[in-house]
Amino acid sequence: MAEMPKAQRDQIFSEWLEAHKAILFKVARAYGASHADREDLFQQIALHLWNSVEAFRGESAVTTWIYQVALNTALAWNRKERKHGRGRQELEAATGLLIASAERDPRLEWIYQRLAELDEVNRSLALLMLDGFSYRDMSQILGLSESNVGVRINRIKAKLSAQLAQESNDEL
Amino acid sequence: MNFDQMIETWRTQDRVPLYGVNRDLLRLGVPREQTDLQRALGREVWGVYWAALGTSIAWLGVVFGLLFAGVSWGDIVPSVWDYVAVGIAIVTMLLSAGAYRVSRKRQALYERSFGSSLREELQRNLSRVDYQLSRYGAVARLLMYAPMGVAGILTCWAFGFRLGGKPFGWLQAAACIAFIAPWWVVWSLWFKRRLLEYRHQFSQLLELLNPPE
Repeated sequence: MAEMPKAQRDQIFSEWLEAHKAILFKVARAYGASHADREDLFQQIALHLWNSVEAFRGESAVTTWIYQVALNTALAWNRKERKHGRGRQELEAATGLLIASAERDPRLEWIYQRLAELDEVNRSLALLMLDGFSYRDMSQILGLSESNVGVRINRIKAKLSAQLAQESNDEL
Repeated sequence: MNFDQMIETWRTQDRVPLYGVNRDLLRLGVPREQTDLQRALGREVWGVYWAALGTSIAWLGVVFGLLFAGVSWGDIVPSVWDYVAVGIAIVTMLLSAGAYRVSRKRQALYERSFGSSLREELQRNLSRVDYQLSRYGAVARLLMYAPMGVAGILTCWAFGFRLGGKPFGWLQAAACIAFIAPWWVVWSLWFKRRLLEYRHQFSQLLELLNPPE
């Protein structure tokens, strides 16, 4: 098959990034412990996404594809970072690639904190669940069986519900 | 907050993104910017290999041409020194290409030691450029090109001498230098200038990645 012209690839990548950048932010935020980590991960996802443009055949929705690329990158990145023991300090290597919004919703921060408590795979599933993906899509993205996805999602929901209930009680 | 409110909160990110993106920095990290350098270096590498092969073939062509001319138009019988001169020229050329390949492999191993973050990607590119630039230093050039040059000039001189006598041999050697040297100098200067531009660009980017004081 002929190689996709560079200009066309660039354009598709720009369109994807513009329309679906929120996915990249969510994954980077969920897997990166510090702002510098998130910038690094966001960069990696963008790189992999750009490289993946040519491989996209339209057999799944673009959002499913982007999530797949983003989560695969995040999981690989996470393992590599842990293997090399590279914990970045908050101010150590921030590059200014991502400019954090001035207003922070504490409820959103709470959700991300709960996500950080989950293991890598369940964190991916939780992200997909929160974004309304079907079990089928989740199984396709993560390579798990649908029944496995179902079991895990139920546990995640139960855990989150319990934490929400606890949070509500504490507020009272 | 209940479960539905949590979902609703989560989805606010689609309307109000968590971050803004510095597109200039992102653009520089995506390999588009690095592709040009890779291609330029790739061309340089293949240029050296093809030069080695092409020059060897050309020298063989010159040998056969001169032998043919000598046999057809004169009483020249090739001596063993003719073959030795050409043999040295070709072997030296191929050895130079081989040494270049080994040196590049060592550099490639070193480049692999960098990680995959934007910063390390830039450092890898900088190291690649520095390596290429080091090949344009006086000592490196002497080691790399002097043996080839001497062998080439010897070949021209030997056949010129055998064909037309001593003055003609020297003239032919000088003609060889006059023909090859300007091309090589112009190309080297052009490529070195491009490398320096890349170096400047990557250094600036690395500066940009340093945390503000």
